[in-house]
Amino acid sequence: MRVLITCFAHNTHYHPLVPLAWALRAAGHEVRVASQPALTEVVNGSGLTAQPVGDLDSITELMTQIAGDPTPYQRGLDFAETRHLPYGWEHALGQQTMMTAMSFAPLNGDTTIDDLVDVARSWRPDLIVWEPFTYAGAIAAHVTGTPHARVLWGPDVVLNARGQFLDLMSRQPAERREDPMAEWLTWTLERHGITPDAAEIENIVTADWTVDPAPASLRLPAVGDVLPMRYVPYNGPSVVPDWLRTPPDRPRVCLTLGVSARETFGRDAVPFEDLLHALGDVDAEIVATLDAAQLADRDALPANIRVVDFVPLDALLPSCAAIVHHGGAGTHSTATLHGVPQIIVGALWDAPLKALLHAEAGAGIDLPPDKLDTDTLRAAIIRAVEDPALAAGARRLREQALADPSPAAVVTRLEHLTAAHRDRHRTAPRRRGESQ
Amino acid sequence: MTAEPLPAEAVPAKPLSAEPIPAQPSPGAHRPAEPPAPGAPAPAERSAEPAPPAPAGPAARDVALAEARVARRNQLTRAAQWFAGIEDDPYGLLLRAGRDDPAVHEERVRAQGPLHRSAPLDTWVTAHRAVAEQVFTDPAFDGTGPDGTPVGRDDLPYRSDLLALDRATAARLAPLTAFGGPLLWAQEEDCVAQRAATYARRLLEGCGEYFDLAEDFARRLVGPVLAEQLSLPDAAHEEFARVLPDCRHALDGLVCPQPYATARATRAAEAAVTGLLARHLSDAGEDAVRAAGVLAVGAAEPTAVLLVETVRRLRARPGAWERLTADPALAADAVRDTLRTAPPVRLETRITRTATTLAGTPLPTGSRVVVLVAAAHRDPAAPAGAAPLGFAPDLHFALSATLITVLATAALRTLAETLPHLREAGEPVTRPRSPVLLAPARFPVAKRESTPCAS
Repeated sequence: MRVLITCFAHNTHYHPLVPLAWALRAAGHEVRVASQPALTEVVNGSGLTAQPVGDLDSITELMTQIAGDPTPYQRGLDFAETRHLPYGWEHALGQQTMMTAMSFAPLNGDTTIDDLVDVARSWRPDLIVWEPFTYAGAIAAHVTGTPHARVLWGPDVVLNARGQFLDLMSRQPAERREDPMAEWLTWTLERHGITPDAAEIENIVTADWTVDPAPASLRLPAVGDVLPMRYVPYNGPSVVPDWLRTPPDRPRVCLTLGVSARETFGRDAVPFEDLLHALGDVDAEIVATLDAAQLADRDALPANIRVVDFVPLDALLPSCAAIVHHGGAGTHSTATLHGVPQIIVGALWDAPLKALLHAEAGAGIDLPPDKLDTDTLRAAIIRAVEDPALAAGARRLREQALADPSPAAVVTRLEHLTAAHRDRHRTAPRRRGESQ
Repeated sequence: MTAEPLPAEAVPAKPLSAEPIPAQPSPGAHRPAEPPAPGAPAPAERSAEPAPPAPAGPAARDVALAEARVARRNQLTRAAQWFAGIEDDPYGLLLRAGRDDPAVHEERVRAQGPLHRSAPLDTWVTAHRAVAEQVFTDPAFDGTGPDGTPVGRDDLPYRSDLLALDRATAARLAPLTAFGGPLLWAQEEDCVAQRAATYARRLLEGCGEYFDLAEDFARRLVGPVLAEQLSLPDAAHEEFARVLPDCRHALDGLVCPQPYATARATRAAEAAVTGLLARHLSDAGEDAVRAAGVLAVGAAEPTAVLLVETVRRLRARPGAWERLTADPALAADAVRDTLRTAPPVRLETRITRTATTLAGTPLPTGSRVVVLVAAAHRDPAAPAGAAPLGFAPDLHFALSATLITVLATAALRTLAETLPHLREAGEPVTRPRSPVLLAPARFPVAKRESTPCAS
């Protein structure tokens, strides 16, 4: 098969796709990774073939409009709220309005979409795999009549929100219904000569099927066909530091904000230096991933704090008794796979929901950013290290993860699903797509 | 005064249902006979403009990409208004125009003093009558900025061109729309009222036992009356009456981005109105064509809103509708009362042409100021017996305010005379994204009292 993997230019969003791409390649399939040129080096660094498409203009424009900081806008998403409050029409419509205008549309610029359609026309992939924000992949698949699949990197908040939204919309008077997502997809497809109906819109939104790398307990209710897959970490080009050869003489705790959160937003969601000083008397080795900009005076830190710029979490976490992090995709999935109890200080996108899910699974601690101070962090770390129930909960998640098929084992399923969906796609949309 | 005979057949009450599908104007007009069953897919919004053909070449692609860019900006502006609401900004919540009572948010603005700063939307907002009066009369404020840029031009790419005029233009055009000409043939108010009553009766005759007061009557009235008043040729009446109601989103679109399909349909309808007037009034000159367009688009929807709201209020007060049907001459009082207590136009935006001071706050050139008209009307600090603010006197309503009041009054009076047993026959629905007008999307009524079933 020819498999076109699509992901907008962002490491965090790309990395979870890499092991599956390797598996496809190792099984003999042709694999190309389409993204904006900014990701080309990263793609090549992962040993895969890059297909540059489009540009970052729409993303740059958005970042200018929101002054480079998406954090305040998370209040409009509030996916975690779905679990605690009645989910009203206004909230659902607000989510769709903000997700479409501030995430999906800008991350999938028009030039990127159109370029990807051209690539799909010329290379004729059998399957398009897309990162769940990268609707350009779904659009190109629809225009060219190609089977397509999403690969998740976290709880499927998008489709769960979409399902709630559609249900609530159906109960609105006809005149009060509006659907910003369908609106965006409609004018985009019209540019390619297709006026989509509601079923076509939902096929683009949900893909033909979804590959979900989360263990069963962390999955939201399935929307559409879901193919479970074990998460296999890829942390980017990695070198194991020498100090990791020696086992720690006391419990080791990883404290990280995640590399990409630092790189993208240029500031910490959490003030860090005070927190580190407060952990000096905890009987644990604290491995803090920080860069120089986050820390004024590295030497003044307590003796039990080890500061590192970058360490591959896949190498570090097997030696850890607990981890404190912001709920980023790679960090969360890697820690889950290694059975490490997690203290999640979640602000962005689905992170608050992940924190809740871990707390509910008895495998972690939900520490919302507005509750984070030196005392709460200290208490949470001590509990995460000492409470055998949390360790057992985290082990259960690891066992669930290991029970799911590896990317290599999933490849055969992908072949079958692709064949099963091929005929359906080769009807109307393909004909329209090729008539131009 | 003798009314002239009707120049053409009155427009049928339900022209929409007779139209071929591609001419369906806007989602608001897609009124299914029954609400779809729960779980049924939402009707896809379709534009009045045909779907653009597949790109035929680089030039067509550039056009499509430019359109997409505008559509994205339109959505982003709406997202910013949602965000402002999430931040609990009362002006953001007003623009969100959900099902909550706008008076709650308006009173929160008032509680913050004479001038509330909506930081997320970069707008100054007032609910105070004295401040509102200054905004409407102080030469530092205008409908467009110093460079002629309409308020919110960048944020609202589908804004109505017709209604984006400045004070000097409004003052120049207003005399053209006075009774007695040069544009309107009626010499006086009574004549227009009489013609409106005639058309109103025809419309009501065409309505079935059950009909939608907003869609089948209120929105269908202004087109034929104005077509006649503007002396458009008979052949143009039907098209004018058909497209004018599709400009219904123009006023809300001045502050609130409309959904893409709606925005495109509104743009197409306004272009159709302008084109039609240009074809038939070109002898009268450019200003006359523009004045007629501003009058038509400015009057049509507010008239419908004013009429439906007045009926709703009368029906809601025990005995009020019956008093009106007993003495239909009370219609003028009822309309005046609505204008005072529930004005159809609730938000007015101005921009500062020069640096100025408002309620003690220095405002630089180019500042955006919003008057909450409805809230200013009920300002407890206003002097006793103050005249209603009515429609803002300085911009496009300088051309249309009188006509709106006359038409709504005539329509109400005719309604009371013709259908004294009118009653509600279903849940009214307010249109979404209608923070300016709170316009009715539907207001189902029945012509007669319901007959109790024998049991």
